[in-house]
Amino acid sequence: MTDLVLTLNGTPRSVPNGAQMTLLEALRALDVAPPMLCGEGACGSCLVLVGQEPVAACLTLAALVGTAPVETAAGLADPVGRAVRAAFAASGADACPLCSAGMMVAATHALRISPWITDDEVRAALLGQTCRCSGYEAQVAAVMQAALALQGGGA
Amino acid sequence: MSSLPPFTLLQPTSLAEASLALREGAVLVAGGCALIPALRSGALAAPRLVTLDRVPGLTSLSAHPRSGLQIGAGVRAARLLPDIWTGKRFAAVHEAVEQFDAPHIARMGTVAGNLCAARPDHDLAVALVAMGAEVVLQGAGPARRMPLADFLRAPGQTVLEPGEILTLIACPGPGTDGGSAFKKLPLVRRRADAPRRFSAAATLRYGVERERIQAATLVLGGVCLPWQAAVEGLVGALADPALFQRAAEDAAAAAPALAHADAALRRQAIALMRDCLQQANARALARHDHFDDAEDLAAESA
Repeated sequence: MTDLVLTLNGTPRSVPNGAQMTLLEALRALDVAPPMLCGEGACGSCLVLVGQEPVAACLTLAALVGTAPVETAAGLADPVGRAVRAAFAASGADACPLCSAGMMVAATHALRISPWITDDEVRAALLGQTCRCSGYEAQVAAVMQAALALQGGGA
Repeated sequence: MSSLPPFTLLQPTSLAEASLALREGAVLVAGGCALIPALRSGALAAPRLVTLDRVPGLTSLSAHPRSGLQIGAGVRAARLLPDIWTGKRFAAVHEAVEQFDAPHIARMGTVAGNLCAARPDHDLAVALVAMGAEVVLQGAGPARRMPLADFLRAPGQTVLEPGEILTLIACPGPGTDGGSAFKKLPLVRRRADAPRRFSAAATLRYGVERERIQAATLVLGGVCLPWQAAVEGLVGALADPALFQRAAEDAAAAAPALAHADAALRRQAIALMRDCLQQANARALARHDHFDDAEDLAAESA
């Protein structure tokens, strides 16, 4: 039984037996809960950032994460992450717990590259996220709203 | 959702150690995109996993129209996307990565892992076979080099011997007046085991006089492992839309995977292959390598 230390949202966290887990299982053991839905990397619900790169936590061996910082939707604390979370909350785009966490992570990754983004680019950035009910409109609008806020902020 | 069965993760620092571990029954983990679900579902048992991420020299990527495209075993597919020569002159490969179902899969999965899975619905092999890619395999014995088409034996099966590792994928340059294209078409599925898509890739190259087609390839995939159509009808011909339509029709008639396809499915496959040929042709004619133009000018003034 090998414990594993993950740098989760800026804080080192120890996961008992974490070396035997996928990153998603390790996060759930820490009560940080991206949902586990397809388990095949196809739906994007468990998207997290590892060293700034979006990965499907369900396909990532926790032991291979090493010291790279892991960010979940709830831990997106920089101005971009905060703008995305605020825009999702304000517009109700985070109403569904299945896809919204992964959507916010994907959107934050895209807006960190540049907040000067078009509607089509947002859709391309969210291509790996499966929305099971609403048809993506609310989420795309929320990302655009966050982008506008960031552009106004002198980004 | 079941959790992973217990495993030991080996992180060797040389190919020889990795190869030894594989001969002793360990299973190679690259991006994990195909392996982790297989472990979780029980389709594959692997008490020992081995990763190459500490083996130096496997993450290089180089692309140039003259020296070709070289992709190390550790290169994740999305690394090809910002590479300018891959986009311009190895367009079929670039398009296959661009059209991955999910961007995060392209970021996680390696090109080598994608090929080693040998799945018909994996598109990279289709584009790479069309472009004449070869693979380098290293194991206990001397390194082997073979066409990618020969490497893929059957769905889920490659010619890798125990202990052998695919270390490099290499494509020749497209030639001065050569172009390529990749396209795919999702299929409506009513059974989980039905094919997900058609994919096709084509390359086309002109001779020095830039009038007649000198060489071409046409590959169908998605419903089968990359299948190379015979394209003798194209070689030496002057390009025109009817020629490409005929070549695609001949390919569809000969493709084993389409032997029992209904008329609608066959029409879709023909359209897809024809469009690949047409786009490869357009790219072959639209020259955009400044040094090729410079060579032509020099030849004319000589």
